[in-house]
Amino acid sequence: MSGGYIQGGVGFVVLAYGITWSVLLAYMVHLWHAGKHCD
Amino acid sequence: MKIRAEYIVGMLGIALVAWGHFNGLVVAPPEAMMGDVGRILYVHVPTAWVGLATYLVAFIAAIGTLWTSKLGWDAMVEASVEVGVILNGLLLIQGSIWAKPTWGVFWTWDPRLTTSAVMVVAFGAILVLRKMIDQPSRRMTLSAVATIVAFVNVPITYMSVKWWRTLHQNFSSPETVSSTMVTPLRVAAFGMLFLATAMVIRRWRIGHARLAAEAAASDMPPTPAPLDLGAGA
Repeated sequence: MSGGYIQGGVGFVVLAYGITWSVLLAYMVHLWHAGKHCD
Repeated sequence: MKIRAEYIVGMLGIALVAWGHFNGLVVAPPEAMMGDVGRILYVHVPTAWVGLATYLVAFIAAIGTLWTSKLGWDAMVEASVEVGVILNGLLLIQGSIWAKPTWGVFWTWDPRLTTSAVMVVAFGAILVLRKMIDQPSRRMTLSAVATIVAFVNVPITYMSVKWWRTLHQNFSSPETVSSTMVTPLRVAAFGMLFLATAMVIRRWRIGHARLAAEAAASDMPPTPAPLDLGAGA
């Protein structure tokens, strides 16, 4: 499943997406809890 | 529980980002030069676009704050700067992860990277500044002025790849990119925009409630220090 001059590198892709989704989901959960008194 | 606008916008955002990322990771072909590593594009570029847009909202809110001195604008500065800093931080992490296999290093003082780093430090400092100042009107004015000053770097960051010779790639045109790659990128970008909008709205509600409570209590005398009953013993 690769091409181009750089072979492999799937780990870097998993890391970039994993960190992004983890941070965004954690922040959304934090906001949801912190803003419960506003609902 | 009341269904708020940010819930609907946020859920739509998650769905669009998930669709865009799935298609970017599984359906789209590997990038011609970088292979699979090029798939970081579908998360990195939307984060960059939306991060810069969030800072633009902060800039507009800062002008609104100085113009009107209203709590709503002040809360919007706080909300949009915070969300912008999170996206900016993610942008630098994603970029560093992408840089290692393609450039051989996690970091280099390239103009685009340097201006992006300056951006997160400048806007991060505004959040620290807001925590440090207790007096509401002083905090409102200083953080709005600091936001306007910090925003000067945002167009510089955007244009840095045009103005200087950089390692970072230049703007791409949709005409030169296959639709199998453009569509997931666009969908992920719209999804990220919806997600950021939902986060800013939610953060605005929290900040506005806190600032309003603070304003309502501003005439109260300062809280007395607790009695030290053990002092005479």
